[in-house]
Amino acid sequence: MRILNYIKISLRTLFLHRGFSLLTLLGLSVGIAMSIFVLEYVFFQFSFDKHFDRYQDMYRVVTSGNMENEQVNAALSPMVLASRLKQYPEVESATRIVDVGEVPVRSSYASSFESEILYADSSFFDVFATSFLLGGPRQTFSDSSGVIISRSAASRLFGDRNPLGQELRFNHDKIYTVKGVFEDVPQNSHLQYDFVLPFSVMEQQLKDYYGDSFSRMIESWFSLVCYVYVKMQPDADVHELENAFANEIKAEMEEEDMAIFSGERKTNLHFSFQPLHQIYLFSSQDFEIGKTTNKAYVFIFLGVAFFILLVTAFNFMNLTTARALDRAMEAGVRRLFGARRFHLAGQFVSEAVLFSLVALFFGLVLVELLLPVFNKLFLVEFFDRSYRQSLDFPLVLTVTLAVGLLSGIYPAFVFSRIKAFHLQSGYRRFSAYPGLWVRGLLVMVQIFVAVFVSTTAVGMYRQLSYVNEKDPGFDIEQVGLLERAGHLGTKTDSLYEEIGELDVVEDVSRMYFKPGEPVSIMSFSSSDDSSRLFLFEVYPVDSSFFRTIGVSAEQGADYMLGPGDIVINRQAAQMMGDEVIGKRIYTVAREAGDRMEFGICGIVPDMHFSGWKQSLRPAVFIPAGPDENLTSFLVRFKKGEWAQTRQLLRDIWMQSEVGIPFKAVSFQEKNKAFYSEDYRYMSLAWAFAVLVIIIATLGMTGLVSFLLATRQQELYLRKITGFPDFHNIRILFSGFFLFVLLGILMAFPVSRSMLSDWSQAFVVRYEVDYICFIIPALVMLIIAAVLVFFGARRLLEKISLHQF
Amino acid sequence: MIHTRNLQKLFRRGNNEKYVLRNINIDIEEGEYVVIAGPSGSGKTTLLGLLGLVDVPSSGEIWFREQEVTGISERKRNRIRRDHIAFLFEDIHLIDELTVYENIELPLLYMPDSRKARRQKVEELLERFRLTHLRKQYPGKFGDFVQQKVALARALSCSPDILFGDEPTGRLSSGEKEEFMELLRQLNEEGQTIALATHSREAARHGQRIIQLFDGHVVTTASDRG
Repeated sequence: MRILNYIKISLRTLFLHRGFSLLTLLGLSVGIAMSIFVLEYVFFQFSFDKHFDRYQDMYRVVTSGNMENEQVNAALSPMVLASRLKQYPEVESATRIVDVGEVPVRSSYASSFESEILYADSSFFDVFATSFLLGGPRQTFSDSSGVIISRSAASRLFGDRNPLGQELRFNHDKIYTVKGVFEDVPQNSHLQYDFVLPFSVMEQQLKDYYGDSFSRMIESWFSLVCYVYVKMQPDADVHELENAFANEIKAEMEEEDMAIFSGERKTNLHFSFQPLHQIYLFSSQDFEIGKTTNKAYVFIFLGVAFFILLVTAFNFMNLTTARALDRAMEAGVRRLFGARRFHLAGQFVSEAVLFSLVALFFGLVLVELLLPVFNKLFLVEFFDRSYRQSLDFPLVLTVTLAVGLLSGIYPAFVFSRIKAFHLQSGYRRFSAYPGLWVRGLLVMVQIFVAVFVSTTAVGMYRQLSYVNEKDPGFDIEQVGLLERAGHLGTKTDSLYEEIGELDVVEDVSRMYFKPGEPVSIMSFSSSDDSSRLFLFEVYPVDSSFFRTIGVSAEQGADYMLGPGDIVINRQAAQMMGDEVIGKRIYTVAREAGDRMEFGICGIVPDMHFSGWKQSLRPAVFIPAGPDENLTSFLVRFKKGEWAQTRQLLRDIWMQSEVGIPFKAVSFQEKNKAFYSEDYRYMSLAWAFAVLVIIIATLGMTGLVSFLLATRQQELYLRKITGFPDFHNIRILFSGFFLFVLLGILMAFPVSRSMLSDWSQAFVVRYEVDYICFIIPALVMLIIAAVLVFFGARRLLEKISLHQF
Repeated sequence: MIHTRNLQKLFRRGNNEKYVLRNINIDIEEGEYVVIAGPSGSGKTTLLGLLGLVDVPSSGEIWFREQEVTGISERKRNRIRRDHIAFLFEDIHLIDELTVYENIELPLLYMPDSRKARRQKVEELLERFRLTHLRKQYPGKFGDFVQQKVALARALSCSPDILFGDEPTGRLSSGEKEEFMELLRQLNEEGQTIALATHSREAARHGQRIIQLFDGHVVTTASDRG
């Protein structure tokens, strides 16, 4: 019965003190909504690849160790691995996968540019059990002309028609027949695929490329060219298998190593099993195939959710106890009539829980309203078919109850300490004295969190501005990319010519690599001293490449490439030592005996094509051969003319009727895209900063109201004694500002450390300076001053009225 | 009903000590209407707090219904207070968020009465003090007299053995004072034991016996009525 009374009082409090209730509910609703978003996001991150029935038996085999003094830590494996693993009874199935990349796909009804395409073994769907809507995997892999597609790919290319038996043309030439349609891969899957092609097609391509060397290549333990996923038997011991396998292949690997490097051991590789559900969050391998994320962000968000809950609860505590005088009387009366401490504690906790439940309603409205914004910010479709179609209500209720309980603890503690005699001897004194410090500390924590989050947001902004403005070593402002040029077929040359003739275009070049994507690394030896090996990134370029990107040679007569000439970057030159111009190097990467020799004709500056998050490696620029895969056209446009250039490129592209969607980006846009995840998190940091500032402002409002209510008499006495208003306000609020300042000061070192850790992901780092701290600190101080100003002014006016 | 022996109350603030009450020996019998009179600062409120088991003495004894209650725990004092004692204050102390009905019902919530019994009791009190038409109203709307009548009904809801009043008419006009004191007198005639602390001579004359306090001492005890 008492609980009903508590609820009744809580509801009455809510309605009778509307202003106070609005502030409290606003804080609670915003806090709950944000916590729900953040926790949903965090749980989503932890849910990756757990949708498979037996995800705990699924692994990816990764490679680690050394190869010619280079550290290897790759998600890739050799081709031979899967078939050898299948021989072990612990391995239920294993599949090789190769990512096809972006290609145009055309049906009789529609065309699209697709990027989620895999070559995979017939056992692919044994490992990745998927429900099929039409057909199935068995029919597909029987020959090399079948393809299995996803529901959404079928919808894109065939609309409502039955796709089974229909043809799909990949990259203009290869034709496949649709043999099955599978349910879309959930968004919380690190491996995304819309098309699965038979691996035999890939093997044929390699055979065509490598010729006689093909059989050696697919048997090699050191050619890391595919991804291998396995499904183990239930309860199989993976570590035991890892060791047994390593022992079995040890001799073979040694033999191959010695054969390649003329009797020397230069390679030591180890294959280990990485649990499937840990890939997205915890993998730090090079050459990843699917989605991964920086786990630091996820844990930061978990911390943010915790802090939001904390400041939300603190806010409630502050606002509730701001009405301490009224509530103390109520508590005193109840005590007088026999209520015990736990009765009062129960009342205040249940009141907080009730407030939280009411706030949950508004919080859910906020969630609904902000869903599109947060979907965009978090890059997650929060409630879609493939993940979860609605909120996780146990989570929502847990969050709400946690906020309610946490919020109610302090008021319960404070008010349950009130005794009946305080009604007689003055509860005013009681309620004012012990609360100030605790209340001040609560506000201090809120200020700390607000300044910490906003400083982090400012710091992230400064770091990202810094890397965007930093010179990448080439003329980034005047270069753009016309992507997908490699799929133009016979129209490539004519389009190239047309682009070169545009007035706004100063130069054009063919690109054979994609900025931001891994380029091949080959080992080179000096012709003078074959014992010295160098691992260089290899960039095939054409003769106008350096001119187009606006780079001149630092050394060398000319950087125009003749046959057999190569240009190296500064790092490669430093690695090779002094006087490298004219030196000759040869590659040993393909097969022993297949030697290709080059002469170094120039040294160019180090160029960061992939932004400042990837370390620069020693690189060589070699003349592109006729078989090299063209990726895009590099266009040098007149300064400030990118918009016009893009429009003209679009016109030419559309006129050529290639049937492939047009895509052109300036290198500056491309560069920015390398940090898209960081930009997203920075936007989130800003959003959270605003939110926490709002909550902290409410908290400060509570403390200011409390101070004004409890020290009204003192202020009155000071005023009639003749002290000036400013002096009175200074005396009254010096403690308040002390807490605000302490909160600000405590946030600085923590933000600095946080920003420092975060910026480790960048190769170059902006030195965190005072501006990062000053802006948030000023914002909080101004808000505090405004609250004090208006609060004090209202009270002083009241005192004046009272006097006259 | 209540007896005190050498009751003393000492207040300390820093190094300063002050006896608010000294050697108080009083007896309040069942059915009595006792007025504790004295000027401001004479210790009336403190004495009422001690007698009502709201506060604890520094020394001396308090006996309630033949049982010494001087050193009993907070919990036991709470229980005795809940079951046997009620209060009226000058500041009235009604809860603004509760209606008239709910304010009167409040003490019963901490007792084992059934809902039906509570309702019956509250209805009787509403009827008695002519508050039935105000039952769903919030007390903050009304004048002090109505509020004090609600407080009186609330105090009586748990059928206390003794009703303590600390200047309950302090905020009332002279007409209202008379009317309120008349209510108390009627209650006393029906057998309700009442102990009233006041500095008002008019209020004091309603009591059967006056205990005069001055500077923490009992100066005189005299029968003043009838």
